[in-house]
Amino acid sequence: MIKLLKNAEVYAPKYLGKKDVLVIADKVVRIDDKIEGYEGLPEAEIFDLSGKKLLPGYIDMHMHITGGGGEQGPASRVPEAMLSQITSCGITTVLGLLGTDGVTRSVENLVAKARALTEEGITAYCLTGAYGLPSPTITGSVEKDIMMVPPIIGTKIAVSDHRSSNPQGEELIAIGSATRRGGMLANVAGLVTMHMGSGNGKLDPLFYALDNSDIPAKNFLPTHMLRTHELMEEGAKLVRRGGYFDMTAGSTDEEMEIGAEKIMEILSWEGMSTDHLTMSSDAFGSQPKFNAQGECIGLTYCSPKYLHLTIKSLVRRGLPLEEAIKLLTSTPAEMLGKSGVKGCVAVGADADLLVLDEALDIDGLFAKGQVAILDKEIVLKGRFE
Amino acid sequence: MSCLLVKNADVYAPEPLGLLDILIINEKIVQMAQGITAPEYLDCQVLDAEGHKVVPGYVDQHVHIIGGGGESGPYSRTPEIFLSELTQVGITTVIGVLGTDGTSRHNESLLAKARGLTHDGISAYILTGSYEIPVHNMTGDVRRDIILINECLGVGEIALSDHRSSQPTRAELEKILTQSRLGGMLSGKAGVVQFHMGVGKRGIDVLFEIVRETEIPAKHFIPTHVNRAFHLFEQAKEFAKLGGYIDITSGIREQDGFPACVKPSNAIKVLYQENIPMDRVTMSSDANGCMSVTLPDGSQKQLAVSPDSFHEEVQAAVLDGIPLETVLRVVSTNPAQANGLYPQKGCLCVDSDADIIIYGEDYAVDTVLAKGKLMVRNGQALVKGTFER
Repeated sequence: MIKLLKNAEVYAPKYLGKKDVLVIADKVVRIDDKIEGYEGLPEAEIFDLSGKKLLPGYIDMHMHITGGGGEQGPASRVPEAMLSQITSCGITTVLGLLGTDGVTRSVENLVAKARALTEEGITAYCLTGAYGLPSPTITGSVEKDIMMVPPIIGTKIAVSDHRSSNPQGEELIAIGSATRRGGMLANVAGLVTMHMGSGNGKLDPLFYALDNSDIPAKNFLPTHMLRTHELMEEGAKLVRRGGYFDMTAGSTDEEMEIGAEKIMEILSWEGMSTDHLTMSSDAFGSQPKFNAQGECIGLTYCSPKYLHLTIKSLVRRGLPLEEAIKLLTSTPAEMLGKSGVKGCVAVGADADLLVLDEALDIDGLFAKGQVAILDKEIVLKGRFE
Repeated sequence: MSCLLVKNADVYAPEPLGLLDILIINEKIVQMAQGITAPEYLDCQVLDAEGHKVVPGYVDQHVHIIGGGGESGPYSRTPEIFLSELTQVGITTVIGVLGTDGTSRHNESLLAKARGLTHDGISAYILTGSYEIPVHNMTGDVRRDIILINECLGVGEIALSDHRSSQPTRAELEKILTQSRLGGMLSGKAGVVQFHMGVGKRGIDVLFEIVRETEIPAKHFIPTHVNRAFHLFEQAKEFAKLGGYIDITSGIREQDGFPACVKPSNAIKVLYQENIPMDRVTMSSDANGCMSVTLPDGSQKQLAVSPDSFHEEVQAAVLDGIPLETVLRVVSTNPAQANGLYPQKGCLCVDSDADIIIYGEDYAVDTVLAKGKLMVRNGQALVKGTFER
């Protein structure tokens, strides 16, 4: 019931110094230099985090929690995520979504899996829709799905990709306004996550939508934006207009390092800040490789571990930890409409807390106040693990 | 974070537990023991309940939260319910239903209203459907509604033996029951079907047939308004013995225009005295529904039901000598169990939601907590709904 985390270097994500953090049930209730009077209470657990860093649990804005893939037929469908595969990477909040396959994977399936993960201990939201148009939905419309079926908070769509339905500006306006309206009426984010391919259209449909409608840029989150240098530059234009974009951490050590380098490059550009950038894993989605003819010549699937490894790489490259973790904490929380609840160490926020050791390796994790990892050991497991 | 300590409570959980202190953190009861001292650091609000009985909040499984009625045209549509109308009589959990009108009223609005009430402090759920068959739903069929919509616990109220029903056949009812049961299984809910019982002479005949001749368990059936006519009440006794739930409507009383009914508190007494399985007996209010009563001259009179009857009948039953514990089961534990909400709802125990009534004199509702939040104090609502004056 009561957990006292003592002597941690707290990153809120802003660095707060050495603090004690009091957790009751699933919430952070107090943060102070010294919190006393709990030792010996039968219902209180004390954790000494001397020499360790305490930061918000990571938010992964793009995870195929029911598995994705399938681009080489049924045998290439990626299996669904298990709880500890997520928590072992420091992640306590996920946004689940569908990918290429909106036929053998359904929004119903996604909702059920999100609810299961939430019951098991983390927090899972999801999106309706998939790559194609018309969007697959539960109730017949994306707006109604967002309004009626928690934890749906928005819509997924693919843009400028050979696997998309090639949505143009007007179609994006239609889906953006339905998503925004549904979000308002349900009091959730109303977010359109745009899978960006390497097509020539790039962000043109989005810029068209912003120029020709009243939908705020904040309702759109293009992802996979490190895919090409052109997309990165388009993304920078979007950020300069007040928008946000998401970057996918790599699926191999090598890709991860290249990704970190690209993030450093973007941050060196004028007007760029981690307040408008998020990073996600694309975990359990396939990473198909296509040849020049658009034929799938092989695939692997992403692990969520590259999120934290990218953070370490960014820190090695000179980005302060408190800046780097914004990509996975406060900024995605803003996009989820959960600022102050998720992605921060703050009084009243959910007790989603990640503990790093001196080498910045994951040492412990609390998910809604529950111990998920303790001294590098996974304590919390999913029902069928 | 909020912390509340109820001191010196004479606890009926619903079984009498004697004098205890109840510690509440946020929405939950976290400790029940003698002599709990509020830990200083928790900054606890203390309520002294010395000399008062403290009982679980009521679970009202049949409320027309967005209104009902309409049987005499648009002017006869009854209004939506306000939060404090429920809390002031001790109701902390409601299940919203549609009624006769499944055309100008929709499950979607019912769901939205339930979410609004939950946001305002109490716990609100819904049943999908209305009187009619085919059953109105939100996502394509009732099974999907139960699986996909968190607040949707089952189907109802399907009208039977009533001139306003769709005259459903046994086969149709079996399909609905099966869909509800399966939806419930797949979502970890009760998957109940509530049946609005009219005064038709067939009563609950068809439900007996289904329970006796199919493998659908009786626990999924909840015929309601069973006290509206004597023949129905007699049948209900038998139905409870078979394992079905029977639901008394507190708003069906002589003073409400039902001369040929069994007074609700009296119905509880008769069932208790005749050793009917009391764990199968529930009571609900039918609040904000419309009672369509035929006057001696043959004309119809419309009455909007008030939730006040709910607590009035609880009080009457207890003052009439039925053990408090038994009455509390009828209005709290049993409806929670029937709808799969127990032990989160319907009892006072550690880890349950802190839905609590502190009685004043003569079992009057003095103080109400809903999910740990103080809603009513000295009989007055402290919390009002968003647009309530």
